[in-house]
Amino acid sequence: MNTRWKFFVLATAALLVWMLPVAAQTYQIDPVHTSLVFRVKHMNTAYVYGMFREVKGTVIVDEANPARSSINIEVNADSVFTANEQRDNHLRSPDFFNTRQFPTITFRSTEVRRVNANTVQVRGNLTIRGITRPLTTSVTLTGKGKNPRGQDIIGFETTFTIRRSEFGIRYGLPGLGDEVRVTLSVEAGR
Amino acid sequence: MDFLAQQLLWGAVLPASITLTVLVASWRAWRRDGVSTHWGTPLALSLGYLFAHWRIVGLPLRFPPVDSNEWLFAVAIALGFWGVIEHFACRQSLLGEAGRAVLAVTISWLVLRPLMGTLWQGMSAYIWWLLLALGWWLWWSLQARIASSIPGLPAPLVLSMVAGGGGFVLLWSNSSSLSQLSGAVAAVAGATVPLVLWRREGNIGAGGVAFIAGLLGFIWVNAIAFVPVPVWRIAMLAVASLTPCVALLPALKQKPGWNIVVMCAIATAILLSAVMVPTYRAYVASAGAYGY
Repeated sequence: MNTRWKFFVLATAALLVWMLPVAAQTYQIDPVHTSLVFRVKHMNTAYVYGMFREVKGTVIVDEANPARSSINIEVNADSVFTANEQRDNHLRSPDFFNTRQFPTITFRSTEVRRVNANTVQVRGNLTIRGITRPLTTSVTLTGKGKNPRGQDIIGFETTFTIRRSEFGIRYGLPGLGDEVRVTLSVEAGR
Repeated sequence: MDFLAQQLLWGAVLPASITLTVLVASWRAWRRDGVSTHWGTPLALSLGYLFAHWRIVGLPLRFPPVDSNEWLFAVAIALGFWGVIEHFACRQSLLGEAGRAVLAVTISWLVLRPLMGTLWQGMSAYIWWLLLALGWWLWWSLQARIASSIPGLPAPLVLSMVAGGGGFVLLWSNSSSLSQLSGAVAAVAGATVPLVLWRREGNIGAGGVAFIAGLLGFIWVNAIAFVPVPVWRIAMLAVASLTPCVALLPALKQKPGWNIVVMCAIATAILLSAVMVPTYRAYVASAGAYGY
């Protein structure tokens, strides 16, 4: 095989590889750089903020075919933190999350649809306190890059509002607000 | 109406009114030939409590129940009917003991099952389940015996006081809903007191005690397993409820009835304060400025 043929074969192979759909990439959520923050109104007056300190899960990203993307998140309900130990213990009790009986909060996506270059709409099932409700939220890609360890990382954020009463958390209504605004900012690496 | 007043109205005043209304109707309290107890007593107590439960934590979302709070609602219905059975079978003490044992073991198993294999592993899961069921059954049966030996005011008064004081202990142990539900038990048990005073030889009977003690015991099982409330606090509440036994002391047997009632109330208050004071101190020490 002469040099011209070798070049032709290699160039064709390279072109074919480039043209093949990129395989979906699986990222693991980095709990250290992921924040799950919520806010709820106290006595119909001011918003009180809290967070969950332990979030883990998997994000599958398929840029060529976003429909094949997915996200699965698992939150340790016991890791709730509101900067007041007594209140945190109260939130862990059966009045709210009942963490002894329901130790995890989960979200499992069922459909991902691209909206524009940096935004996808994610549908899925959110389970809190053993009750599963459908949830649709708009997720924005906040960046891509490499972390100091050289891993590929991806970041995205979403904000949505749920009614806690729909998940059986009805204690203190209406003094403690029913609507809970949740912001999730994820950094995931592979 | 402010938050606290609203909670008191829905969780105590109206439930007590419902119970009292049904009691007055079933005892025919306005008539000379009215009765001094009735099988409707546990149903009146159950109706009042169920109203409070609905207002405090809402109606259950699922059946069969999954959540520990949902179980409380279902168990309150079951205990209403069990109280009717105990009313008619009050002379069959073996039936009462066996029935309470079956209920305590079965309900505990159903409610505590989600914790077995997760929170409690291996043999410890079975030990927790059996200890809680046994404790519940023993206390429940003791209350039945006390009520049958010392009829009249002591049983409902002391049970109401213990449920009310226990409500504060639960509140200071991180469970407002169980605290309020305990308060609801106090309210409906307290609603029987004026009627017991009004009717000559009135008493809430085996059925009433079956409901109040059964439900209060179950609230305590929930508090230990799910909040968790330290076991010693619940044990102290259980001890505080045994004060009607002072009526059995030989030195007091000749005393007038109201003397015994006052002594029971004072002894109960002292024993309750022995658990409420340290619980409150621990709460204040760790609560900071929380205050719910």
